[in-house]
Amino acid sequence: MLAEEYKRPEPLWPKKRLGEWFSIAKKGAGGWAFLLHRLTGILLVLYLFLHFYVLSTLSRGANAYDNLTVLMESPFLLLLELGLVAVIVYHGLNGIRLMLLTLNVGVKQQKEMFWVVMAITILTTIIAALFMF
Amino acid sequence: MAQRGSLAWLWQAFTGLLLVILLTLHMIANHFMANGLLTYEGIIQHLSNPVVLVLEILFLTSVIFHAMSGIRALILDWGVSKSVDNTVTRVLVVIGVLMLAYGVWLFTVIL
Amino acid sequence: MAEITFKIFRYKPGVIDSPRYDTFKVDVEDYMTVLDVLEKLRLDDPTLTYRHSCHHGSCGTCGMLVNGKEVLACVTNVMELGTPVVTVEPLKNAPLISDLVVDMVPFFEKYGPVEMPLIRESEYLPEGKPSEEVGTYTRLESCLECGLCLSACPMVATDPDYMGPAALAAAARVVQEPRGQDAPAILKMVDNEQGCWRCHSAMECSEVCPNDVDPGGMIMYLRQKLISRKLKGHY
Repeated sequence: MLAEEYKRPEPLWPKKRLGEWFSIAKKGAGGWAFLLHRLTGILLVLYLFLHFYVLSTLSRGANAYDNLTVLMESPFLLLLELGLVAVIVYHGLNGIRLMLLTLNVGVKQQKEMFWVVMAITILTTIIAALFMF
Repeated sequence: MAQRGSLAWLWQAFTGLLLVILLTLHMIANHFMANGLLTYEGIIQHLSNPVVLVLEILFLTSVIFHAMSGIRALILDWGVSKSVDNTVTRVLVVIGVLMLAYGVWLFTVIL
Repeated sequence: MAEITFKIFRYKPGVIDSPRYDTFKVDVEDYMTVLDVLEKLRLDDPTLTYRHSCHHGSCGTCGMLVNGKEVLACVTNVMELGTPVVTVEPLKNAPLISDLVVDMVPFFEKYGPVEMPLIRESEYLPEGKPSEEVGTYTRLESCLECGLCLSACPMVATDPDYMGPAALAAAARVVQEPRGQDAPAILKMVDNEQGCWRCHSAMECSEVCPNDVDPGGMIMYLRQKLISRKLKGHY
């Protein structure tokens, strides 16, 4: 039978293309939401380790911690921290959006929900910037 | 473990929701109630409040769970085999427990 | 009429061994679709291969990437694309056979036990009557099984074992309207990490679906059903 003789062609592309997660050739807002959620998630894990490192100096006494936190007053680190605010707010809000989608709530409005998430993220970041600087 | 997929998802969602609430409290407590967490003294004073301490430990636990579960989801998405997934999950559990233990130890050292 | 440059992906084991893009300049009439252009080009270059059948968007055979987006070539008007250069590539996430032709066998294998649950024996038999709920659902009978959703899905891109949008949408359809099929069994089948819990709601499948099946929404429907069943089971 033909079907049994049929030999599957070897895929030309590698089977696992991580690039597709981070590719910017997205077709819709949902694709962007996914990309940003994944990216911010990875950044937050990295930040978690950094946060642990910073706080680990607490175990080495007052001086170690105070010496390190002096660095945090620098404008560059403040700017990074502002980025952190944006990343956290986005990840949290989009997380809520994903939860709603899973409960089959607002699936037809998922794009609008993404824009709302983005708007609140930007707004919060601006407010945080006003507090910081 | 047929239900692992949904359970993993539900826990991730639950801790995620918890984090949204706890992080809001964490930020309010750390930036508006405490007077200066950039000094050792400030931290000790801040953590002497038992409510803050409990919230911080709850926050620590859920953030570690959420992060480890997120890493696992990422690796699973990469299409790894069942055995690799199991190994990864075990390693992540160990890392998570170590991080939690370290965090709690850090609290005890300070206080 | 305008002259449009077509950049077409070429790969043909034994003939064109390393993938490349061939460039063709084509005089395109206003009415012409991407498939029309391919057929025109094929007159000069019979080695150019692509799949097609009905020419009117009902068979789902001519799925391909046009300017990076999954479309049915037969209903994609070239002039409406509005680009002077049109890139045509085969679908992603499927084994490539030749030029624009991909192997659809893995796509159909994903249906597994869902199979084709919605073949109607007759519209006129009493048991063929749609259930009362049918008006509230997008009818999956409109799924063409063209595979565009699998090509667009970022999860299928990294895990070939994931059931993917099309099969999950078919499963959701059975749950919505079982017609004698074992809906709880289908729900159980999709309740795992290779099923509906793998989706990360990027909704790219629904974005490219040529017939508004909304596979992403169907996956969300399955999840909501599973969650409410679990809650009812526990409490």
